[in-house]
Amino acid sequence: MGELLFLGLIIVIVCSAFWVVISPNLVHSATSLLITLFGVAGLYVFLYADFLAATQIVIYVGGILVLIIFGVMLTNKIDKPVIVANSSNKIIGLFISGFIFSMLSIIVLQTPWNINPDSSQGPSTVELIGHLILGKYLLPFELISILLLAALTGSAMLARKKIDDPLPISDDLSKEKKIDNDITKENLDNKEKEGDTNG
Amino acid sequence: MDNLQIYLLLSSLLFSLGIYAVISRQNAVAILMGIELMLNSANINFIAFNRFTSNLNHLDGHVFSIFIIVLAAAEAAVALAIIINLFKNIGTVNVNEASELKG
Repeated sequence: MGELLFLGLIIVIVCSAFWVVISPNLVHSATSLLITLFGVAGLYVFLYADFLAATQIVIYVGGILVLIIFGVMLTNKIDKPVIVANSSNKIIGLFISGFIFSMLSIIVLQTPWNINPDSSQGPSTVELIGHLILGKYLLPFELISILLLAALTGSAMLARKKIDDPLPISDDLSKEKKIDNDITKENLDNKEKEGDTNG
Repeated sequence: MDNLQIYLLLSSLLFSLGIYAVISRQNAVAILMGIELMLNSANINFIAFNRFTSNLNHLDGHVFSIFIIVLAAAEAAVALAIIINLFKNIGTVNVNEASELKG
């Protein structure tokens, strides 16, 4: 039963990943990426990584994929019925990726991996991960939180609308504006006087 | 199921599919999807090695893959901000047409 489920999971992951890469419709690509990420979360369950599976679903499927779909929708004209994603360089890409895949497969199959014989399920991973994050990996954890904050504020600043005429910041600027206003007032007054004399 | 090589083969397949997407796709969002596939394959590798080659109470690979997930979130946010700016400036997200440095 478990073997069958595992096989089905691998087939689902591989097929949806292929469709992500070769689909001509961008929305179909995003949807198959959703299926791929769910399949990878199931793979984590088979690897006894329950916390990672939940994190994968919450962050990847709930966060990153929604962000990507936002990107798809925001960067296309809304009256297009099908969002097209063309491919080019197919032969070069096939050659390079096939080469990398064959090299990696040879390496994977020929290396004598040092496998630990005791591979039964251990205790729950949540407690151990918590101890590791707040103990051994405290500094990288804090650093990555700062990095995430910087990246999110930076991207919000990049993506927002530009303000056309900014407000005067210093006193000098406001004084200049006042002078400009005075000049225009004088011009208006002169014009009115001219109009009076003409009339 | 209890075989390390299956996981490694699957992750290398996902990695090469991501490389193929990065090389051959023209839409910037599709390239971003390829990068997400590659990051996922790295995550599978970390967790598979942690499961098969370390002790039960050592979960360093899990912590590393959590860091990778956070980095993927930050990268996706910044990349989408850049892509949206690209679309505002030149009206397309085709990476072949974005060939000017300033414009």
